[in-house]
Amino acid sequence: MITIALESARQIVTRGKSIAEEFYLNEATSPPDDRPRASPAVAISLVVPLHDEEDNVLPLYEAVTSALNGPEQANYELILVDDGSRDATLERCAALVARDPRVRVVELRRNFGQTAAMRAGIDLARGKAIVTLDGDLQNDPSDIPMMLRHLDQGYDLVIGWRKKRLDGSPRVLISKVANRIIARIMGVTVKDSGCSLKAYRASLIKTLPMYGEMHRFIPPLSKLANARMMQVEVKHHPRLHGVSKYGFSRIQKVTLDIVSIRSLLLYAKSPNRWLLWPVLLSGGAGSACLMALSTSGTGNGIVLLGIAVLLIALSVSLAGWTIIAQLFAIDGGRMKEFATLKAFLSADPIEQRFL
Amino acid sequence: MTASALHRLTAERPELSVMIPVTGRYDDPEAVWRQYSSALSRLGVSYVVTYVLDGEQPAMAAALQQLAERGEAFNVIRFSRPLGEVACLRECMRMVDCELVMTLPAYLQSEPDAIPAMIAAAQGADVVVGVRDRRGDQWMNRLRSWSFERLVNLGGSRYRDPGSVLRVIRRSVLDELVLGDDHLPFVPLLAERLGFNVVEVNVPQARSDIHFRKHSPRRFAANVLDVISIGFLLRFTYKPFRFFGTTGALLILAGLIVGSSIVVERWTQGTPLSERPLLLLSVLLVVVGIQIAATGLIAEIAIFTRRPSENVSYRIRRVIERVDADDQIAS
Repeated sequence: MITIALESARQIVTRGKSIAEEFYLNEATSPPDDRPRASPAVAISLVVPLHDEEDNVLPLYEAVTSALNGPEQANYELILVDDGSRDATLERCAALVARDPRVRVVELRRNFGQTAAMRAGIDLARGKAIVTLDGDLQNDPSDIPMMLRHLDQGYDLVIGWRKKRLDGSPRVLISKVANRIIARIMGVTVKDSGCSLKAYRASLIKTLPMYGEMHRFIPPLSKLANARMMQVEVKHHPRLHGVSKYGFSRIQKVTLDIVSIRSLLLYAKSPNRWLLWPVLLSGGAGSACLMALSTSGTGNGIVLLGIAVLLIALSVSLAGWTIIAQLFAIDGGRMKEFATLKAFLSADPIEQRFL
Repeated sequence: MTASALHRLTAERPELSVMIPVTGRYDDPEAVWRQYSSALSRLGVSYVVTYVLDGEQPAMAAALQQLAERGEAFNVIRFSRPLGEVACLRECMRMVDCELVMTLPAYLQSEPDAIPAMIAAAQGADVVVGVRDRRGDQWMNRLRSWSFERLVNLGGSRYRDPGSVLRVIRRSVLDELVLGDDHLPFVPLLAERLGFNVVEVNVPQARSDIHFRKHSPRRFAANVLDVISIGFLLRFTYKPFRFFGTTGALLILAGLIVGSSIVVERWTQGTPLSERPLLLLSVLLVVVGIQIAATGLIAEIAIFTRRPSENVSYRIRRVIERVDADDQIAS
């Protein structure tokens, strides 16, 4: 039996830090290296995953610094996650660290994908509020202060919504249709689920699971945790540099993900009713076949009987699966984390202010 | 498991640990040892050789005993029963604390002259794979190696010569990887997945390796199963529904196609449905499809509820940040 990733994140982070401290020991003027780190003065963390975005690093940095220059947003950190870029992205980010102490750069060992890169930044973030945005400058950082104010007023999740999409039209159409379907199935109407510009209360996003393609389903998962969600219109720019990294070949994958996450949501809400409808439907259909068999004497009864047996067997096995699924919920770590998060998010939002 | 050290070397930390697993096939131990040690001594780094006997292996143990009595210096670890090459490696790592581990076969697979090139390549890499030049080999051997390579590539690896034992692996790689008993051929692939740097080095095949070899079909079947399990785990561990959902959907689709063809015949030719046993097949396909999809959903639930949150899907090489950042931000 193999598990691919087992080393604890904490261990890696510590190791990474010690290397980073070595890295800057030569240039740093004052810091005694083994002194315990001062309690973080950071209230807001901006997380930006970057993959081959060398031309966008500097404009992004400048846009962020000019957007967050108000007195209330002084204590922020900008976490740039280099997701295995093969161009000069990392060098340019590292140059920013020398220039501005608020910039932290996370170098991943290879290209792990946008979700994993975002997760790396979120795990390292120290702020009470976490803002995620795309590294391709399609989001405008000048929207961030407004989103943070909403967050501070008691929302747990502020989702950006691009009213005027400025991309090529087939992409917009596909994305719109996909959004509609996802919204309908998930029961959460998100106007634009593809927009990366989002602001979260740190405790919410740090608890949500983010493996695989889970980032698409943050809003419904948040809703499950009783989060107060709001959507605001944000500015949107066409790409200036680089190429878009999405293709059309994702429809099958996204469809499968929708089914599995929908069922996960249902499960997390009430584990015992998870497969209730399939069990009842197949059991009912099987019983109906049996009834039909006993009332109508015509035709070959063995076919009808066979179908009845199959459907009833399905119903029984699905009922068995439901019981197994409940076993997973009994003292499951994630279910407990969810309960804690729910309690936290239901508390008085005024006590959780950060600005 | 008993690990008995016949001969123990100094406790000083060597630069290179050489592990020779004895899992079955071996050539004349004395000749192999002489070739290896002369190649290793020309390296100019301090090294420790450890033979790991995977199982009792009395003949080999006796031969090593003789060598040791003649003053040759190496460690011997002996398992009381066969535990596999990965266990050999782990045990050797536990015994010899060293940054670099080189694995060598107990028989001459590639020319020992290639060892310096392997060590040189290890300076900039985490895993070095020795790839044999098979041009002089017998065609049966080449065919078998080729098919094994294709098979491992199906599992997701793009590295050549998975059967080559000659490798250099950094300790940090082995600390992070979780390996199954027979997963040593997959170390390059698994290491690459975690973002480690893997390098291939071409090495000449040993002359004594060029003769027809027999492999048991049982061994081959085990390899096939390993490849399947690795391929599945790498692709679907965290999204099992992608696999089960696709399979289930295909079955349901097949069932619906069969069912609708019967319905069409009912309309066109008037054959009553109750006289079509094919209807049973159609329902069976749909039912099995639903069950497989439900299996996938259960797997998703297991991962959702049980995956520890520190089990992250990324690996950080380093964090570049200012140590004095907090003071500067505060001021």
